[in-house]
Amino acid sequence: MREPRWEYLQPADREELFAAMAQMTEDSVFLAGGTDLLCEIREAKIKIDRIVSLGLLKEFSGIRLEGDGIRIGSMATHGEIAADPSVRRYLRALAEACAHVGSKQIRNKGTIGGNLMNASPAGDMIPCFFLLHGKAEILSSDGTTRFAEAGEFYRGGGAPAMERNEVLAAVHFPVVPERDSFFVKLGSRTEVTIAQISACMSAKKKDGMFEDVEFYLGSVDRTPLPVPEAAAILGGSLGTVEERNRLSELLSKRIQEIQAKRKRPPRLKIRESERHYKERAVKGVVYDLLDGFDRP
Amino acid sequence: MRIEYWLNGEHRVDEVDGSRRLLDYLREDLGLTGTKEGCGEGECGACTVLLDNKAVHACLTMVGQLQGRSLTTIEGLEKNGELDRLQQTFIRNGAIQCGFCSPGMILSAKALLMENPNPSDEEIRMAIAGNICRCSGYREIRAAIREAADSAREEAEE
Repeated sequence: MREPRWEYLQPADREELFAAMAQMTEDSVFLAGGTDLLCEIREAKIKIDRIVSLGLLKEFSGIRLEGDGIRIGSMATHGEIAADPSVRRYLRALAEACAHVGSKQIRNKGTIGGNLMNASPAGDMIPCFFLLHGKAEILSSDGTTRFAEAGEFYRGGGAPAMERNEVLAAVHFPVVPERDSFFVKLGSRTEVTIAQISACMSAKKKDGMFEDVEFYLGSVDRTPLPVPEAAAILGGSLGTVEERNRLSELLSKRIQEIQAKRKRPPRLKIRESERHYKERAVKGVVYDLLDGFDRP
Repeated sequence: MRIEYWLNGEHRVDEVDGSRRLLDYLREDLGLTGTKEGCGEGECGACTVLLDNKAVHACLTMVGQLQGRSLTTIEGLEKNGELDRLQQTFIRNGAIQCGFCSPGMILSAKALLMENPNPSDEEIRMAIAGNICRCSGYREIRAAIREAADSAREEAEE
């Protein structure tokens, strides 16, 4: 055996996890699925001294209905989430997002925890985490657990607000049976694509009309962009052509404003040409989203 | 670290560097060179292997992640000197040109047929969406997977 490049720890229970976490420095990383981490290592983007794999921790895996919510272990894969009957029934936007992440190989390995922690602006779980009022279950190495809502979790506008002695154990979503949701993304090709714009929406339907609409755009800013105006535009209607167009124009303006209001150089680099593209393409995304929402 | 896992059906205990790429471990340490390296970043699918019967990238997996699991490489498909049904239909349909994508392509197809023995054409397309064939012989590849599924079903019905 060759000399290992890094120390590799693979705790199997809480006690071993806390012992491993005690050894972590600022150059130590958690390994979830590895689909992003191994690319970063290959590109020599990060300096590493120690890898702590979360793959053997049972309490970090699995998906289950709990009271009036669903707990998704941070190590649940995109494929597991997309196939889960409760998620498909109550968190359809999340199931859709997971069903279209990368390729089959990526979905078999990539995890919701990895997606949320990496916090890529194009991370498809993140708009759903906001939309569906998810709460992060964060375990500290002293054995305590705290919960953080999406806004608090990403309050820094980028990497999640977590301490070095903390780890993401699960994500909880409330179940609201009368609500439905949907997610779509636009990429450069139909499969195995990275979102250039994503959109998700959640609403109740009363007499066939939308009610209490919530709406987020992804991949256009560092964190998902809330679109509270969507409630007024779509509320009490079926999403007519006129309303779809009005919403599209509004979103197009919001994308323009993101660039305009920045005082500092943006951390998410969007070229001028990409911005022009997104301003126009968002209309197709709105149509796809509302068509998808109507399909059972 | 010490790992315990199943390699092509055989129980195996090994002393390994847990952070080593599974792809390097297979090719360099075990001499199983059927698993190919294309892009090294999870785009091309040439390094596809099966972990607990699910297709994953060996280039994006660390050896430690094998712990307690079952790994299938292309070398594991041949049984008692006979090629797997998919290997046979790939040959019959001319679905192998340069052959570099074939191990990964066949394993993605194998995972599909184990999960869903009667896939639609769309499901076949989705299952190999993460496997790139630079000879672009996708039509023959899809035909080979179709034939493997159909012939297995016909035999089962007989």
